Amino acid sequence: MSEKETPLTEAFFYILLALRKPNHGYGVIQEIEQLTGGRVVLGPGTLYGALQTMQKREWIRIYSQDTESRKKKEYIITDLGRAAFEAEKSRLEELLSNAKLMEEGEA
Amino acid sequence: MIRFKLYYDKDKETVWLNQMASEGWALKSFFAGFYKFEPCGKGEYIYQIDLGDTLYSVSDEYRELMGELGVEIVVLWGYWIILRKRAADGPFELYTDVDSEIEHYRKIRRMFKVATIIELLVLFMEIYAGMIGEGIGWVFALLISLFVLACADAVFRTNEVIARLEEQKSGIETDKKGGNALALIITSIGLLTNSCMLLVEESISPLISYPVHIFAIVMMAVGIVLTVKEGK
Repeated sequence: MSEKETPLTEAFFYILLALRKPNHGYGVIQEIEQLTGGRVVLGPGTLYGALQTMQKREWIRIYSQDTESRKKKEYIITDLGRAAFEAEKSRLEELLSNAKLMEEGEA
Repeated sequence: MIRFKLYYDKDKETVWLNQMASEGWALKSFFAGFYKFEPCGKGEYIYQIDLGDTLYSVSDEYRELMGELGVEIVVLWGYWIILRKRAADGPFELYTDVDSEIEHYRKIRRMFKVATIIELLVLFMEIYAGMIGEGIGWVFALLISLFVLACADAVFRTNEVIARLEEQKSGIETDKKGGNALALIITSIGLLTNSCMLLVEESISPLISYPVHIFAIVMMAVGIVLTVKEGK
């Protein structure tokens, strides 16, 4: 992923969202597909890269890891991750509220 | 069935592997250019090639995630990872946004850059060996210069792919300079070889010096042709 931390890529944005509760790789892909009506379907490479980058930035962490059973590895968002998500949300809100100017222009 | 092929363009390799799979041949293993296939249902698998972070291995996390997503690791060779997924389980693309795709190709470019530099160093060592009278040095130099060319070419091809992706991301067209640099490198390798040969011509047998001279002339000619083509 690029060095810049904002704006978040769509993949980063949705992965953070999907990890508001513990979730595993396949679960993340499924939830994002559902949320976007099938528009965003993450490829394994994109997901793996994003998970690695976000763990390095401490935005997410491994929630459970059970090597004994065949249980899948789960991830969860951290406080730093929530802060990054909130910063992106404010940016998007600014965009949306400014977008209303366009309607005024028409009137 | 075993096929021998040398690829340094993973996109072309992917196309070929998927072509084979669509004809009912699934890649099973790979060793130094030898691809071993076994029969499969026509189009049973979709193949993709990834670049790892470590030689001949992947992290447990990578292995686990791929397993969870129904992706099988078929071959680990150098930094390359050949993966496949059953076509019945849906489409299989590794990188699904421009940002991660750019990152992937940057990683590939970095690898080829390092390889080019290492091989250039080896090339100069072999040229030196040739100049001090080790005839075999020239033979290796010739071989290694082919590797250098292949790697340098891969760097420039990857440059072009990255430039195209950056354009796609930003919507702004950028200048393309890749081809010129390649022509320059080829020409300089030709010139370098030629001048080395002129220096030592007296002391080595014509059996070695003629082929190397021809190689140098071909290199220079290719360089000039590429430059002219670029100018159009």
